[in-house]
Amino acid sequence: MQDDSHTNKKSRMSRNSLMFEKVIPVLLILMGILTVALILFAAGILLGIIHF
Amino acid sequence: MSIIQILPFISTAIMLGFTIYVFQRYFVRRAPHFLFWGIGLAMFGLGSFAEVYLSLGWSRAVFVMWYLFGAILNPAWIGQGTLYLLVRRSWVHIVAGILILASLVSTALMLSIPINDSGFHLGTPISEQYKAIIPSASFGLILIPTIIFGTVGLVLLVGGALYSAFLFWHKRVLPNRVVGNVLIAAGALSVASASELTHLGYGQFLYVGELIAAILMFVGFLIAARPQPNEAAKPVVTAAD
Repeated sequence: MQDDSHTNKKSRMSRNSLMFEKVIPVLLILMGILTVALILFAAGILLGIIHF
Repeated sequence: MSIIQILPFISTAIMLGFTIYVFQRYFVRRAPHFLFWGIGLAMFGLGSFAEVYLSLGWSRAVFVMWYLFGAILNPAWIGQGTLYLLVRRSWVHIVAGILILASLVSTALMLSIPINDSGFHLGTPISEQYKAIIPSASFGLILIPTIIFGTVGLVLLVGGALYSAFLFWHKRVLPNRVVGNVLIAAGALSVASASELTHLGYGQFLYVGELIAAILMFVGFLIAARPQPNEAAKPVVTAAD
């Protein structure tokens, strides 16, 4: 049986977690950049700037 | 079995399980985002299944199914599910109507183009030879919906997952949803990148990209959907909600 303090820990992020302090923000930024790059690439194809 | 059969076969099996899981949720909750996700994921799975089939033999109908569901339609349908989840406004129904209409037009377009059967070579991945099967004049025509559907899907699915992950990360709550949405976004980016490379002539990456996408998106969905304590008080919604 879980008490309240335990359940609160499970649903909140640890302040000292390398994963949530460093890895996740970097991943979010990198994936945001890749998304924008893919959108620009697709726009380049539609506009005829990129040929294949 | 060769690698061009094994990779899409595993993707198909994963997508089948993923689709059934999402439709089960739809039949319980009746939420439209599960319906659109389920249809989009089923399209993804049909595209992978077509790759397995076309590694064993030729079928014009299966090739059309591969391009229509696998290359054109599935990203936008999954993305529409995310739009339904994140935006609770009536205009989302209008967007859904436009999507359905555009999908019908694309289907008619795909069914009307000539197919060069003799361009098919058994043993070569379909992603590396589809340009020889679709005549270049027709290819220019279907490229437009391919790019538009793909980009809309990319913006909605990846953008939605990153947005959800950022919201939970910023509020410092529900870490499972942060991780789940990051995995969903990474999976969608994997297949989107592989698709762009395929357009550039590097079709050998498509099957790997699809398999990575199938694994990451399903695992991400399962992690994000895992019940958490205190979830009843959650302030925002997310993919796999």
